[in-house]
Amino acid sequence: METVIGQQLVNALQLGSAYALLAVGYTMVYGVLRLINFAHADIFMIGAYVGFFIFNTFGLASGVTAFIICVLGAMIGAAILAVVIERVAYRPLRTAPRLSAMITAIGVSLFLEHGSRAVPFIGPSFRRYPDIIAHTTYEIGGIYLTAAVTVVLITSVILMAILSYIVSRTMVGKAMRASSYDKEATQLMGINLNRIITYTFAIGAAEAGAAGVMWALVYPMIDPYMGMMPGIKAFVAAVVGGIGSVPGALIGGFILGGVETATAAFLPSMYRDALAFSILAIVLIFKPTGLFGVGVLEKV
Amino acid sequence: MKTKWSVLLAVLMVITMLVMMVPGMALAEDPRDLKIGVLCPLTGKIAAYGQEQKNAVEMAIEEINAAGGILGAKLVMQLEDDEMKPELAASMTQKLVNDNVDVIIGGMSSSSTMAGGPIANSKEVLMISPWSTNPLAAEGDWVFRACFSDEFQGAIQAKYMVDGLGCKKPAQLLDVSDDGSKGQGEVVAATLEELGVPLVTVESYGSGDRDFKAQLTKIKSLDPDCLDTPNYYGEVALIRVQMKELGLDIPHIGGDGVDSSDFFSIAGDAAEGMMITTHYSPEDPRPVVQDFRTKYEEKYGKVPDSTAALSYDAVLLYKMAIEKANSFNKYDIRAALAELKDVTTLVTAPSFTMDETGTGIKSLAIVEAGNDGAWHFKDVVNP
Repeated sequence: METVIGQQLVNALQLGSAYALLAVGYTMVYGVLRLINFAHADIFMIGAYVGFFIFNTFGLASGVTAFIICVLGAMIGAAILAVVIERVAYRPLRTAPRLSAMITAIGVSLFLEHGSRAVPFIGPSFRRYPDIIAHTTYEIGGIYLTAAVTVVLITSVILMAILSYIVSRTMVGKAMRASSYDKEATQLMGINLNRIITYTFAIGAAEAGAAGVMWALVYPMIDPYMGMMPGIKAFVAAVVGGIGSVPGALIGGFILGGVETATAAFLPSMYRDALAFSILAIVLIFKPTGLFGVGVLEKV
Repeated sequence: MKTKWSVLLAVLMVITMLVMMVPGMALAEDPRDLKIGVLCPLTGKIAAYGQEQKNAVEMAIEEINAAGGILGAKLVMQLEDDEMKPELAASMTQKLVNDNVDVIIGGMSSSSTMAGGPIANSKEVLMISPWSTNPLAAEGDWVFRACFSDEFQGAIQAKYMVDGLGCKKPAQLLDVSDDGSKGQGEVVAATLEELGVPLVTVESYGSGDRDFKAQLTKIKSLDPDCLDTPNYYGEVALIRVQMKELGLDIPHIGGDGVDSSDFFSIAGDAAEGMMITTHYSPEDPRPVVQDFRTKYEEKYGKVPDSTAALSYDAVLLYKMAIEKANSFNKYDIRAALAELKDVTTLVTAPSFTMDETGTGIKSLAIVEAGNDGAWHFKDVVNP
């Protein structure tokens, strides 16, 4: 029984770390712009494909070096894409009603999904993701781990640490937090808001790109719609953690991964999603702003 | 001023839409041609099968046309993509019906056929599904299928699990969001129950899930001696990979939804040893199978899987029905199709009889995944 619980714990961590990395992007963009960036899940998908093409084009040999190259490539690719999307699709609508921006975000999301389905080098079919890290299984005290899962878990922790450092310790992070608090006042303090927003999108997308590669590595089947379900779940994780709060998103991701695994493990798995989301709904009933969210004060 | 622009824009959008609809209507056709509508999941979750279906129907049409058509009438194909989404299957069936097709070859998945079937029935358009095995998929007088139903397949599979594999404690992992998987899974479960070897657990997931480790860990803790996954190839391939990662090494059997070469490319070296019950094996030595396989391989450069063979057979069944009726009247063709008996010229079975529900009475093949990326013939079971 202990090994079963231990194994489920590993499963939960694996799922949770992916949700956490993805949730961060939703929460950061929302914090600064009050925009739900629906395209975020598709940036995650593009990240996975960037890693796929880097690995195949350069014929890299499986291993940690190849993994680092693919993850960095995916992070850069995803960041560039997100910055372009922000510049082309969101910035012109910055002063428009929030609903217009949201519809645009849905449009961008659909464009990325169906656009990549239409281009021949991505295409609509499932593809096998290359073993950037071998799926060698090893057993520690009855708990099964693969090399890929281990590397993914370690990398996720490193990325989360870097992110927390940027947000809490650097000038850019400070500016981000300031603009999420009060955009107008931040500009009056001489902070270039456009630049901060660009950084926000780039950092969130880089995490999503890395998450894409790591997700595809663990679940080695990719297609243009692969971002939809993880995207929805990560968004829920961000809301539960308190949208706008970076530590909240990270913890929300792990909570969601844990609740999902636990419901499947100890209750009939048919109710997995229904139960997982009901529990989350209950959290929101008692804490409408999420676990770490701060209620927005109406300024009169 | 602003409203004027909005009105103008709206009018423009409507005009564009209308213009885009015109080419479909304006195609001139020879009135004697038979229009073969193909309802096909060319993209989406089972895109690999859609491609096989398209290839096989195309090949059948070319061959029939080269041999002078059916009673002198040439066949033309009209293909619509349903992405394996029921709502799209319904609207695409409606489109094919509106375009006056003579027959619809499709849908592929049971969920598509169950969405499109009622429309074909109400408009009295013949629909021959190659591959929809759900017991309810051939409802109505106008919907037929070239395959057997889950009731037959599930029963045989359950018997094979008990008699062939010697299972005492079978488990099941099921995609509950899909009619085809659920239909098969329920029949397997019921038959196992009858045989006195009930499932120790039925775990489930929804379409789009990629993580099955929680369910598999739970299954492993119950110590079963056999796992049944009556789902589609993509998810089964991932289940297979994750079983290996969790050290769950027990006989693993699935249905015809796994019968795709894409299963091997996704599962990689985890594929070996998976067993499935399916419609046909390309290794079947009957000349008609080998002839079909050679032609298909020459034309498309790959070994045809079950969906290709069944789609090919579906067109052949339509041809036989017309020839038997010796008429192009749709009521005569339908009646002839319903009465087909002991057909021996099909690729997927040495003998085929249409039962009263419009379902094939035919044999079933059991195949096993080799380490060379191909299914190998294991056994054939006659009804």
